[in-house]
Amino acid sequence: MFKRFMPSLAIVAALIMMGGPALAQTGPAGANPEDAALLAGNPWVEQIKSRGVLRVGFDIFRPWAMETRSGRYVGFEIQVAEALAADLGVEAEFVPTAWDGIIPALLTGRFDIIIGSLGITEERRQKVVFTDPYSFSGMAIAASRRSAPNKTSLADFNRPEIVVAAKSGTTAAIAARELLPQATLKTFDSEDQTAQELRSGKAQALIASAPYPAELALKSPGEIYVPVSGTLTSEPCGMALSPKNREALPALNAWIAARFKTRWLEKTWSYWFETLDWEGLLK
Amino acid sequence: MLVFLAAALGWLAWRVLVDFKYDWQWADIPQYILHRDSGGRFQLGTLGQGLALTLRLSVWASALGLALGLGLALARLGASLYLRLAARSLVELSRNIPPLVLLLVAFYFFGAQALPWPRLAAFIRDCGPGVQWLAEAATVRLGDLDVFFPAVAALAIYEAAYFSEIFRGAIQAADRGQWEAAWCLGLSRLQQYRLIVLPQVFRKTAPQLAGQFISTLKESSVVSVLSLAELTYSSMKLAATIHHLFEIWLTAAAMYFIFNFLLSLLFARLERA
Repeated sequence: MFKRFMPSLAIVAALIMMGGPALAQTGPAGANPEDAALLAGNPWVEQIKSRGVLRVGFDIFRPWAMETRSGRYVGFEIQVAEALAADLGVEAEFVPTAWDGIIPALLTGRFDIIIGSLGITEERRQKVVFTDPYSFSGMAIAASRRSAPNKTSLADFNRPEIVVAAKSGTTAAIAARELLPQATLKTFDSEDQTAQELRSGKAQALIASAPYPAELALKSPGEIYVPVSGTLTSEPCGMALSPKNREALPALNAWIAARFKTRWLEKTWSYWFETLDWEGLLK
Repeated sequence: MLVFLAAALGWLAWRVLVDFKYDWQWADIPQYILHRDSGGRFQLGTLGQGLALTLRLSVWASALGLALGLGLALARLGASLYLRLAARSLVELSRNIPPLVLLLVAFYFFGAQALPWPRLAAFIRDCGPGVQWLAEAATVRLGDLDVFFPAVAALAIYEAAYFSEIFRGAIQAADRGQWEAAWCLGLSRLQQYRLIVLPQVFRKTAPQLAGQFISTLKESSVVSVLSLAELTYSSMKLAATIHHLFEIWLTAAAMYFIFNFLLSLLFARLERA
């Protein structure tokens, strides 16, 4: 059923071009008494309630989490975190943290939880504990028209002379290595740097979470194209906790299940990923 | 040579402006420095807030660095061998470690694992909104104190080495006859420093101290690796939000340059006055 969440790139592309009609306008996150009851009584939850603040770690990543001109945060992750905090009866305090350092920052106690589309991987599991998935992200590919024209399959890119750019420390870099083992992988600190490598012709392709590659191709159709449409992978993303707070998992999993059941997570996802209605919120 | 340089610059400009096919979008940028809110009042945008935090960081780091630097200079010129060795070690250490590495070391020594920052934040919060507002206006959002302090400490230690060398040179340049005259008047070592030598030292070193403050302002950009929202990290966040890389980094560079250049003009004017 989760495949339905994955916006096909074609739909995203069409919606972006049409200016994004309002598919599912989600209202501001208010506390839901039934979901709030699922969280009560857990020791980790009680500790956060007594403090009155849920500290949430994430990195800025359009449209998962973005910063407005006045320094507020908006985005899919932010809305999920605000809903969780509202059901806990506390304020959400957002702690933006550079991606490379986000797990160490969780483990040293800078925040209580990572709600930042952290893909669930074995390697990360050795350091943090994950809740059940609350969203799914997929990797997509974009290529340079100038230096790698007219390619239509992944195999066309799986050659040593092809340079693939990806953001370091992300599942995009892992996916690039697995999908294109023969190609030369170059990693960068930000997605924008990977796009710049593609524009300048130093990289022939980039791999990043959808919908970023499709958005690039839409913005510069003369330079960048999507050789393989759709997403190449589907990765479950969970909220991450420090292992010492393992006992909070059942309560959080129950909360996520409840939000799936009411289709709230699905509607929230499509608002941020299948429309551009949120662009005005950046003001 | 000049022709060659001009050709190289021209080629570079052509690469960036034409060959790169960069889609310039400047219109969105100014609101992130300053904008009007719905009430019509001017509000700092994220880049403006970032510059304000850069300034606060630099003022704290320079104030602490000045005090520590003066202490180090006096220790190195003092009679105690132990103090001389300790001061020399600290100066050499901080002059021979890159500021970024020094910052990471400071983060693990003065951060939340080592010092009870969350408890201090809770204490300040309990003192009432007035105290909290004052503390946040002078430093940073209370939740970020555990990053702000290590950042200030690392910058202060790094700058203290340079401040101490500036002071030491100026103290040693004071005429020997002045020390002797002060001694003849029966002034103690402390009085000799306080009344005779240090006033001249401060006056003489003012231009170098001002230059060092501007250098602190620039160095403070390394703090971005700790995800503290000074100007550089604010720019990174903005880049991840609106993806206009060239515009954002040119704007950040211009903000650093204009601010530092105005400061250096101001300091030059103060010196002449």
